[in-house]
Order: sequence, then structure tokens, then C-alpha cells
Amino acid sequence: MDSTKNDTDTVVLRCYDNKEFVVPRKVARKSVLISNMMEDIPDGSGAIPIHNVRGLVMEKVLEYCTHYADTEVQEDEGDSDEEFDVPARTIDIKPWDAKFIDVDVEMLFELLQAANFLEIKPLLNLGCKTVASMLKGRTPEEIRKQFNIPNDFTEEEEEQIRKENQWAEDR
Amino acid sequence: MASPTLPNTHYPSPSSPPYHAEIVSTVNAVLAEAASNPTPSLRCYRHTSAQHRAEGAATFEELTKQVAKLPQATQTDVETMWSIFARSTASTRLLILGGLLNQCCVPQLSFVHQAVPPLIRVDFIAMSPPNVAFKILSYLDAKTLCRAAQVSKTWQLMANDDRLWHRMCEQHIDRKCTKCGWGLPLLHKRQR
Repeated sequence: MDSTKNDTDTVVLRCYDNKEFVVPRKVARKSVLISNMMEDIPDGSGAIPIHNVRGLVMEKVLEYCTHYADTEVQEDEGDSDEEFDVPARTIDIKPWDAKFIDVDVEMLFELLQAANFLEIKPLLNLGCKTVASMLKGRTPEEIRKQFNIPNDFTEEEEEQIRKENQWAEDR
Repeated sequence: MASPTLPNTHYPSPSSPPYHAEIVSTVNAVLAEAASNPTPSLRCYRHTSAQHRAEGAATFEELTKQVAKLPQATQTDVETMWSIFARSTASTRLLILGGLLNQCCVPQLSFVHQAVPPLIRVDFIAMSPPNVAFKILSYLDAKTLCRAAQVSKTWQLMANDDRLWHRMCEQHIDRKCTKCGWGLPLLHKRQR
């Protein structure tokens, strides 16, 4: 493997529940946030605190980063600096990714938040695609039921908004 | 921090001896503390969502009504168990649960299996930061996006965002769209 000496070194990440992970630098670098922190914090100054992620979720995040440690981020997985970049509207999920993201809803939610916080764009995209695929083909009522969302429209508002969106059903 | 409204008003119930009411109010206090100060888990979705808290309070009320029908000694047992669990740390709670599951017969496990999925449903759009919510919606086709706009007021606001429709319409200029004024998207004939 053609990795520099630095990449064989490890870094310690400490989650808010005090779980610590010893991680190869090239794995940790998959997170833009941690990557920046590694540059700012001198070597040997102890564990890098990750305040917003709990151990169980971090373990899952690191499983992803380890799997893709030697894979460069692809262009279409979003390297842009835009706050909001619209990806292709296809939901294609690679087989390994599909297996990886087959978790309960709570874990999926926490993974999304962690990927966003840690700035791991491919993982964030994967999570968002997964949620989007849970919405496809569902009626509004089915979506409410699936995600436990109260209907806060009045009957008149509901009718109005149904009319506004009817065009998509008719075509 | 907003304190959750657990149903204190129902206690003491007329049929209960005074000390029963005392235990219930202790349980209530502990539960309220656990909910308003979710130390067991830093970012517990159930304890930060107003809707989940309201549902939790309603369920708790229903359960305590059922417990009130039990013999006095059993009532105390149940309330003590709840109270111990409520004031335990996250890791201790997992141990308690693990032990309880281990003792369960199949019908009880079946109850757990049915009870849990509805409890862990998450409103991804309302609970995520806006950039994440937008990203989720950006993977939807026009038809699903229109349906998403009908789910709730929060979803409507997000799903009608011009940035989503601008891109969709720009790519599929057909005729003018009433939503964004850019162009009506061509819909895919088949669902992907």
C-alpha cells in the first residue's frame, strides 16, 4: 500500500460517553472535521474529543470510514462547498452500502446527524438517499404514519394543498 | 428547560391509600427529571421531541391506571421497578433491560417486538438540520416531493423550497410550472 508514514500512525478519538477509539489517521481523515482537528492539534496531545457522537454510533461511522479508507471521494458524491448541492435524482445504493445502512430508524437518524457533524459527505449522502427511498411511492398519510408525524393542517388547508399538488398525481 | 407535563393531576386517586400517591409522585418526579434532563443519553430524540414527550405522558397515564387496579403489594413492586429504572444511568438501564429480556417468555418478547418499532419512529425532516432535510428531499422525484409537501406544515415549508424545484424544473423544461415559474418537470413514467 502506498501510504505515507503519517497514514500508518493512529489517532485517538473520544466520544462524549468517554468511549475511545484508536483509529488509523487515514480512516479518521474521512471526516473533514476530524481531519481539520488533527491539523490543528499537535501530535501527542491526547485524544480528540468528539462531543456530539456517542460510542455506539461512532463505531458504525468508523466501520464506514474503514471500508472506504483507500477510496477517494468521487466527484458526484459532493466535493463542492455549496451549502446545498443537488445531487442526481437517482437513488442507487451500492450493495455494501445497502447492507451497512440496514439499521434501525434511531441509528439511521443518529448516523445522519453524525455524518453531518463530522462532515463525511458520502455517508451523509448515503443516509439521505436511504431516508428518501423510504418516502418513495408513499401517500402523505402513509408518510405520517411511518414517521409518526401529526397532521397539523386544518381540513381546509389540507384540501387546498392537495389541490395545489394534484398536478403531479394527474400526469 | 421546559419540564414535561406528566400527569400529576390524577394523583392521588380517591381509591388509593396515601402512601400509594406518594410513590407515584416520586416516580413522576424521577420520570420528569429523566425527561427534562436526559443525562442517560446526550441527544435522546424521544426526550427532545415535544410530540414524543406528550405521547410518553399519555402512555404513562394509561399504564398507571392499569397498575392502580392491581393488589397493593404488586402496585408497589411495579412502581419501585419503574422508579429504579428511571433513575439509573444509560449503561445500567441496558443491563436491566438485558436481564429482563433474558427472563422473558416468548409472548412477552413478542410484545416487545411489537411495541418497539412505533416508539422509534423519527420525523427526519423536522428533526434534522435544514441542510440535511433538504438533501433528503433533493433525492425525491416531483411526485413524491408533492406528496411530501402535504405531510405537515414543516414538511410543506421544506418541500416547497425554490432551490429544490428550481433544479428539478431547470432540468426538465417542458412548460411553465405553477410552483416555481420555471418549467413543469417531466415525470418519469415508471417509479424507480
